Amino acid sequence: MVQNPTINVMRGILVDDEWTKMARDIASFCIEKYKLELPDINFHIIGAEDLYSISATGGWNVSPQHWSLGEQYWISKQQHELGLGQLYEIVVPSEDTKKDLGYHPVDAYVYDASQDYAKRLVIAHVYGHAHMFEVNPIERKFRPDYPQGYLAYAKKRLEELEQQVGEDGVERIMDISESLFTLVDWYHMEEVKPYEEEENVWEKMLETPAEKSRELKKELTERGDKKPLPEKRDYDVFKFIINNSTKVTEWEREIMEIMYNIKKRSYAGGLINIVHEGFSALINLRYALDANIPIGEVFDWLKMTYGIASQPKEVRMIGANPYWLGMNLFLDVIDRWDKGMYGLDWENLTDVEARKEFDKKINKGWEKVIEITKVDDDYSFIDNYFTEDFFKHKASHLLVYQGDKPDEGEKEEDTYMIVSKMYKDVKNALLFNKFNNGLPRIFIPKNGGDYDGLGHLMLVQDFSRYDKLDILQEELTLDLKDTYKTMMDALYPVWGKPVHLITTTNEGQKIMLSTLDGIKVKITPFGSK
Amino acid sequence: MIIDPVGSSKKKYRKRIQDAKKKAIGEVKYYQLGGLKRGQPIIVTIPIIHIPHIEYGPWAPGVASGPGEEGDPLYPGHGDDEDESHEGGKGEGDAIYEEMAMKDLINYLKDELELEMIKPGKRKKKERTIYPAYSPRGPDSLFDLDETIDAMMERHIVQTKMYKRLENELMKNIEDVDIKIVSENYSQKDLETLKDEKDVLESRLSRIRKDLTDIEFEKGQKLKIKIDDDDLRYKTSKIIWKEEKDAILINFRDLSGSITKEDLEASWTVSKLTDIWLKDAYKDSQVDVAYVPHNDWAWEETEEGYYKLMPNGGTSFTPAYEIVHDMIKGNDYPRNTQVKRNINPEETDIYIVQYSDGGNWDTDAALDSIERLLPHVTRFCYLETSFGDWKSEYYNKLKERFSDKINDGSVRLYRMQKQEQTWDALKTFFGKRGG
Repeated sequence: MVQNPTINVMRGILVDDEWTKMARDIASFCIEKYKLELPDINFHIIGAEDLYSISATGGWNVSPQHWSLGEQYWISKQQHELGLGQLYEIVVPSEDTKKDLGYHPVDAYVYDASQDYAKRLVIAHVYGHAHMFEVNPIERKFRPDYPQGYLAYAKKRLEELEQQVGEDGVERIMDISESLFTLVDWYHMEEVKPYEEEENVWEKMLETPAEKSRELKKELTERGDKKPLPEKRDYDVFKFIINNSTKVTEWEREIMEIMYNIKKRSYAGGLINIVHEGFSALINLRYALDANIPIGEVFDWLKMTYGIASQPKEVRMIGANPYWLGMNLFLDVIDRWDKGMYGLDWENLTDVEARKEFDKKINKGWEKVIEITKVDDDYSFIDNYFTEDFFKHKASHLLVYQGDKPDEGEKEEDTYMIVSKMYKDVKNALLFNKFNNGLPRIFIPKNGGDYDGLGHLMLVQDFSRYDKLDILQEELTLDLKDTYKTMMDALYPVWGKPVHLITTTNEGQKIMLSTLDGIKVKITPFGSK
Repeated sequence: MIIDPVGSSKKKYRKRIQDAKKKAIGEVKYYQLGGLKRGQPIIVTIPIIHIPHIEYGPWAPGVASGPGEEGDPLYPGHGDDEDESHEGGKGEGDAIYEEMAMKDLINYLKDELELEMIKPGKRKKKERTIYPAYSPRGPDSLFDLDETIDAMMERHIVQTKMYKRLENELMKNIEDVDIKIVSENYSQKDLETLKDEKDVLESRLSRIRKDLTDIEFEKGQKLKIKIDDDDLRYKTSKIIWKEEKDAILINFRDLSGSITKEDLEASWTVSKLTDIWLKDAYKDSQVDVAYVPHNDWAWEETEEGYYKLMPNGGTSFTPAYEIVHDMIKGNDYPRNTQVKRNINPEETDIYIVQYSDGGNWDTDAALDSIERLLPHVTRFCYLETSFGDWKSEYYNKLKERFSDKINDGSVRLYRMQKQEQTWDALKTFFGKRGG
């Protein structure tokens, strides 16, 4: 933490003195009042057009050129112009030039809104983000040392490769990386439970004649000498392919490595989204109420941002709004820890009236909030603080839905049914969407990179740990159409040899999907139910 | 400060959407944004590339909020009733609005309206002279000093190398002769021939060394310029011919009291679209636009003034046609613009688009005037706007009089009865004939 953070507000290449003073005042207010730990911050006040660009790259000033940026730019431009989503700010870690001193400066891009009070409140919001970048373990873990430098290098290198091998070739590999980047290991989870080999080789030996068994023995000992690939189960499938594929050329490997590094950083944000946005929204709200801003302006601001930080009751909204959920959970935590509503005293209290009037007046709410920002990620935040009381009072309009296989000519959305409005199910569904970033956990088992000794790639879907969330194996069925396409169009071209994936049907039967030629996918039942 | 981080990605996105079918991975899907624009509910459709991922299927639980009880469908009225689902059951608006770029518009005109590709007329006009190459001979006026010095230096470098090699060879030969002389294996007579041989070699060596000092560049010394006749370089010229004609689009606008706001709006739309379509066809040449409003008399107006004029007065078409005659002949004519136009039909394709409600009192004179005009004009388009019940005689008379020209496509008529028929009008004017 920096004792006196250096804060500058830039407009173009010039420092805006008036706003710099304003931002420093707000910073000292926040540090004093909310105990924020702020790093050095460079604010950049920019126009709408620049904001669309910077949001398309995820906040980076330079980025390798890919069509997906153009697409994202177009979408945010349209959204902004239609008034569907007003972007106000974007905050990213900056170049870590003072790493040895433990400094982690951040860059913040702030929309040049017409009202000054809006900008002031956005600056307070940015301090919430900056605090999170500074103290949260997940943010610190995935923070690259020289992000801008690496991206500038990546951009230049990819442009060089485009010159050498053509734009189409580079784009193809980037698209494939875009498809495979979900197959990374977010938790560095190693052997949770050893993979059970279903096939019993000794049984095979008994059935075969003596000569054949000797051969098989010999083969087994030979195979035993060879180092298995990978040596233990590996959840970082994309990285494994980059390192071990015999098909890809050197430049293809280079592009995939660059994409792996960039994507892993940018999508790690999904693990900490709710705490991040919730805390910033909270700082924003507190600042609007605590600082002496005229009530009319505060009201105007709240009206403006209501759409962003709300979870409507009357209209259908898919997904939990991270701003709304995070902020309300924090408010609930403040309320409980201010009144001392935790521990055995509270748990053992069964009388409704007594629970309502319970107040130990210990005022530890804000301390607890700061503690949460220092230890929790989304999963543990929801797991620990999404209580039944909170659900009953604030979040009872959340519900859980599930779909089914759509009939022909039917959209997938049409099959969605509301399955539950119970506390436990809602909490489990929220946790499920946060576990492993809401993505299926795929791993390569021991020696899965040389399956059958022929260099086939074996992937296995991991169903363990979902029982804790009351989610059955058949509910974890993959989207088959997209899975086939990923196997045929992305995995097979880079592995160059047949690819297998063990997964489940929605009846709970384990199946093996195999593509032998990259043109079609074969389904075979695998093992017992 | 931000230096456009998206950059060429915008272009790449557009190209990726266009070539999506050729690519090995990904497919085009459409992302819909519903919202309000100028108080109207709209849905903007944005094409996106869907890259497949290994993801959970629909059976995985998801979180949502909103009304409904357990067992209800998430989107009520969706899928149950087909008619309803077509009208967008998500509670969003029903108007569809698409942002179009100029290129999309031209593609739309080309692919959807199936307009005929215009082939600009042929001519041969000297456009400019370029000097693509150099020759060792030529007139003094085309002499190029830079190239000459380059040639000289090149020659010097080659010659130096050659002379050095010769020098080495000669020195080696002299050494050989010296060895022979010293070896004492030869008779007196042979020795003399050897000495003569050495003299010849030495004289050649000294000559070469003298030449070398003339031409050799040495480090730190000034450049020795010694230009031979062989080094002289002259530019050779080449004339570029421009083969396509230019084009001019002449808009006639009826200013009579009977013209309504709707008529004007229709004429504006068709005029702009025609302009875009012509500019796309005449890519390598100029497309100019002239504006001629008329009531009882006619004059050329600036673009700005043209659409601001308030309708009043009677109608006569003849003065407007006469203005085109004057432009072709080079006579002066009434105008509000600064420059008098002088159109040469040999070098310029003339497109005339006339907007009118058809009310006119000198029909016969007007028809005669058109008949005289038609040989010079590439295409004559007549757009009659009759949003009311009233139908003019002028349209029918044009149809009668120029039936043969209508058949070959150089005269095109369209009667517009609804404002939505703008595209049809454009299709009639620039679409394919027959079929």
